[in-house]
Amino acid sequence: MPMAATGKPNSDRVAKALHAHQVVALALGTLIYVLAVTGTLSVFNREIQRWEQPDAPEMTAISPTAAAAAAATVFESEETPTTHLYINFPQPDLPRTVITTDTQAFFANPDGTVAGREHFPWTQFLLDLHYYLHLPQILGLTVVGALGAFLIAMSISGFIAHPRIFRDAFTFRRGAGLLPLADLHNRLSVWTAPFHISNALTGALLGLASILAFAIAASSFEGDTNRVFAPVFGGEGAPSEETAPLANIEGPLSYMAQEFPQLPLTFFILHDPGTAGQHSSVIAKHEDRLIFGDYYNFDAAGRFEGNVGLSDGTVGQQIIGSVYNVHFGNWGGLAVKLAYGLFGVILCIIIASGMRIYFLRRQQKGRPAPRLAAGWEAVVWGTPAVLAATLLAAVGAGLEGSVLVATFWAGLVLTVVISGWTGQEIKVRRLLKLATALLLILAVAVHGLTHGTSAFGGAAWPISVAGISLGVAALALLARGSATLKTEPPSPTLP
Amino acid sequence: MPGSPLIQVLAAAGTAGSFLLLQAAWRRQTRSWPLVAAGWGMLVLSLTGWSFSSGTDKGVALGVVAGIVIVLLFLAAAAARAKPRPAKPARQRRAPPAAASRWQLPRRVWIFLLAGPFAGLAALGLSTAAFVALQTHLNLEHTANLTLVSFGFPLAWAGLAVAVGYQPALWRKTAAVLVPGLVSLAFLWTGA
Repeated sequence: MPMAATGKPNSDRVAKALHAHQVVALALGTLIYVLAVTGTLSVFNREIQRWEQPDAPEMTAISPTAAAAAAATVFESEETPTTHLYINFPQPDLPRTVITTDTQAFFANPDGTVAGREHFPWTQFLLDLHYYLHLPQILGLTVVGALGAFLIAMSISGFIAHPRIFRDAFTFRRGAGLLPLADLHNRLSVWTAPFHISNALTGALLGLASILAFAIAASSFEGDTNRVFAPVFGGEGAPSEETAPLANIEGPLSYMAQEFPQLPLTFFILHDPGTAGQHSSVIAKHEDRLIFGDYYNFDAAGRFEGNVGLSDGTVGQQIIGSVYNVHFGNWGGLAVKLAYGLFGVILCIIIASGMRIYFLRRQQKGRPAPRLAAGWEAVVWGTPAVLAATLLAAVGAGLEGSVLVATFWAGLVLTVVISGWTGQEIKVRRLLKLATALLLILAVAVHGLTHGTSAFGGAAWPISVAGISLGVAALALLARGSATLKTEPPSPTLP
Repeated sequence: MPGSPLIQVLAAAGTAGSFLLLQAAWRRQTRSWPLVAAGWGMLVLSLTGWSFSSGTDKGVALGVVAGIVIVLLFLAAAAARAKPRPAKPARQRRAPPAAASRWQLPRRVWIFLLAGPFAGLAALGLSTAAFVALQTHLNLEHTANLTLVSFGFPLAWAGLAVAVGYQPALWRKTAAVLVPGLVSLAFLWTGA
């Protein structure tokens, strides 16, 4: 929420833009903030998956023979026919082989035998929250996509409302009160704009793709949405009811290893397995590109039919193929993930500080809103606190699925209502910071007690250490903050 | 972070140099166009350097990420150098209570509907109409067309939401959404 330089030229434009900025922020700030927090955590979803299930078999690679054997075993165990059979190949950040069908997922051992079930309820809960806000799929995707569009709207109005964008580009005042808070909000907003605009745009594109496809299909393709996306990602092929022996899985994998040894495989997909219409695709990563990979297609006998063209097809294909990775930050290894994590935290700070500026300005104009301000603090710190509570519930009590969903939303709403009722903004902030830190440390401790040495083994130590470090750092900041409060006279304005 | 480390180090140095130049330019009392041009020019050059460190798209993306991290370090340094300012005493002002209007709540609900679902529908109509127009009149290749409207849809929605917030009068807010929405609908209806 940039500060207007009153009395300057274009002050009318600035005031109108600020109003637009404020309208969107007040209407949808809470949901956008929840998406920013969950998006930041989702950057590390693979690491959190490993942490949740630290004992799963890990490997850097699996042979085509072993992968095919594991896939066939899982396929044969299916009670109802699956429409797709997937092999997820080991990646540097998730060195596990997983065989997935429509209804179940199992780990594979390096020798091709099937190990235990894949089970990461909290990560799934987190991803569902970020992708769908726990709403039904298409509706949830659309709402999340719309929130991405509103984040872009906030960026546009923020830039219009920023008359000294270059001159102030490196100005940073510290201290209490409105100006330092505005500096924090404006500087971070401007300089991280390439991240949060591209992220909001790609998120909105991913979320709104379904309804756009419906509209385009209705207007141009007799309602057939497959014809909208087929030129980009390839078609599905006609399904067949007629049964057939399971297609050759090892052949395509061996072919890829032989013909494209430089391309690491990420997925194998067998469409309509065990039917006369079955055919397969291998998704291979192109290390020097932003695309998530390209599809290499094979027929049921394992004969290569060509690639779809995300890597070397039309410009449109290559751009759309890059959207997912640009949004989630999984295109440049750990360094880029850490950078995305940092930028995500900064986006949370931008949103939180923007609303604080609004409440501070109201206070300065003689129209304080302590209940709303306390409610906003409950959103800012209640979101991580309730997320930490759900993490504790998942690792400690084994809660999952709809129970976690209900715990999160009921917990957040209760926190906001009670905090708003108290109207004690500073107390709410301190209490919820403390709750976040303690619940996080407790969740990691309980996870450690449950999993023993595995909790600090290769699969889990990064998240265990990060969780404890974040919790301890939050406690230290809290202690420092309370020492400052004791030694300084109370600030007449918001800290 | 795969890629050529030497090129990345040189490109990162170029990025940092460009921010130094821009910082110097923007701190001056009078605008120095040569300095501003040198700063932006060096930034573009460094991004070009990044594009050679990996694939073109990924290299530039790495450069943008590195650039943001570098500039955040500049900001952290500026924040560390700044002397903490004591908070000014708050003005003990008490605004008179705002006159309650029975139209306030309906007005706010209408504005929310305009910026939210109605702007979304109008943006969807505009994007679909743009797809049809580019397909039938310009014969644009399908994936390029789909890419354009896929990016255009959220941008149009964002633009309409800003227009709703920007316009002071309610009828102007309404017109900002309804006019483009109805025009696109008419286009799709008539197949113009």
